[in-house]
Amino acid sequence: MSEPLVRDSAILAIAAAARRAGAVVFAGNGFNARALAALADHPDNFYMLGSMGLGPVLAAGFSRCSGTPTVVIEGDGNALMGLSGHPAALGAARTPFVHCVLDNGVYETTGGQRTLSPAVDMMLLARGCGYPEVHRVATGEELTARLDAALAGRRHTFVQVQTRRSDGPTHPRVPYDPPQVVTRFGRFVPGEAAAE
Amino acid sequence: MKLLLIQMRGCRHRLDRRCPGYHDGLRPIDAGRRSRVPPTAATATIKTAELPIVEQLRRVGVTFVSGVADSGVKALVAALEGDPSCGELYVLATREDNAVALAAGSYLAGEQPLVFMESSGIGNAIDALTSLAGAYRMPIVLLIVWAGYDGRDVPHHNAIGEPLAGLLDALGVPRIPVRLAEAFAATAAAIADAVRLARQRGGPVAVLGIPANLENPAEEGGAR
Repeated sequence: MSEPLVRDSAILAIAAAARRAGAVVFAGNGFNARALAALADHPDNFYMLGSMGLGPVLAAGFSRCSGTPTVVIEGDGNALMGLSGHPAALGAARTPFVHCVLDNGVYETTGGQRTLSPAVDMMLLARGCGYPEVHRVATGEELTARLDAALAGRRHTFVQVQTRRSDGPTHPRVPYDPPQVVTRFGRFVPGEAAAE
Repeated sequence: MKLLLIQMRGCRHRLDRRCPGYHDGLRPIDAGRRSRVPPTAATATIKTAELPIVEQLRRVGVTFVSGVADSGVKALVAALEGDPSCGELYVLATREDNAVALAAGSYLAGEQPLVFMESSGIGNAIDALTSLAGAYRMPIVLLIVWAGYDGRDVPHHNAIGEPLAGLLDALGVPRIPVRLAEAFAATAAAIADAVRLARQRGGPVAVLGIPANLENPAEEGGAR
């Protein structure tokens, strides 16, 4: 019915669902982190500024040790680069854990070069990695419904979000340097000193 | 017996504070494997005064472990896999960069992570070590089994083992060498130093574990 989402609408829907559920949001590097910071900055957001493809494992390590409901957003380029991390993330993460891939088929941050995503069945991959809940959505309503259900449930969930290339202005870089991203992250727990 | 009590107390402590509902949402755990209780009185005496490896790790402040297996850390992985304390300490990774990122996530939740790998894994881990652990100033401790140490190994190990120290220096990752022995105590002591240094400087620190057969090849028949 309606045409595919643009990134900004998807990011806003994900951030809103996360806030409703008290979940943290990890955003992969590039335009996804920039958009999250520009549109829905919040102490429960963690912005990746590099380490392309490692979003799900980073988020899963946090989920594992904190028990906090966790959402991770990354692009199709990130997801393809980090394929080996998907079973590792799934093995580590507690629930609720929602892995959202915003799939526009291009590396938009670097100028719109195409990715291999059109040749890949992302849902089959996610199932193969062991996600018990795997969905593809194309509208904001579907996305919101899937997120709300996943964040209220106890099943690891993968959501492929069909998006189209944005035509609006791009967002500025994340306005925090990496250590600031950590200290601003409201769920950050400073570690204890070594026992001995 | 005393050792067992210490372990059980440690387990409960961690479960209470960090791991409520540990099994929630995780895949079923192999109950048979988990329930294998390590040191009987007999093994405790054979291993002289050595505490179980997992207990040694806890004592030096390590509360999260991930990594990619290597023969040089066989005993460590076996100990982690057999840990009776509900397995929350150890998480499997598929690649070394994934292990570093899992560790980074654990750090955000207040843990002190340790990541083990073979020297060949450093290439896979560089982006995670620089743009994540380094840039975000995360005190992740690496235990790298130094295959290819001093060029005394097989060619494909030497190819990374020889430049390893210089590579870590170039990346700004301090390194602490230790000889990998049957007893874990020396490794644990090096990890303790690395934990302190990593927290003090805010960034990753590497313990370089030199396989015994490479450290003294004449005596022990190294791979050369």
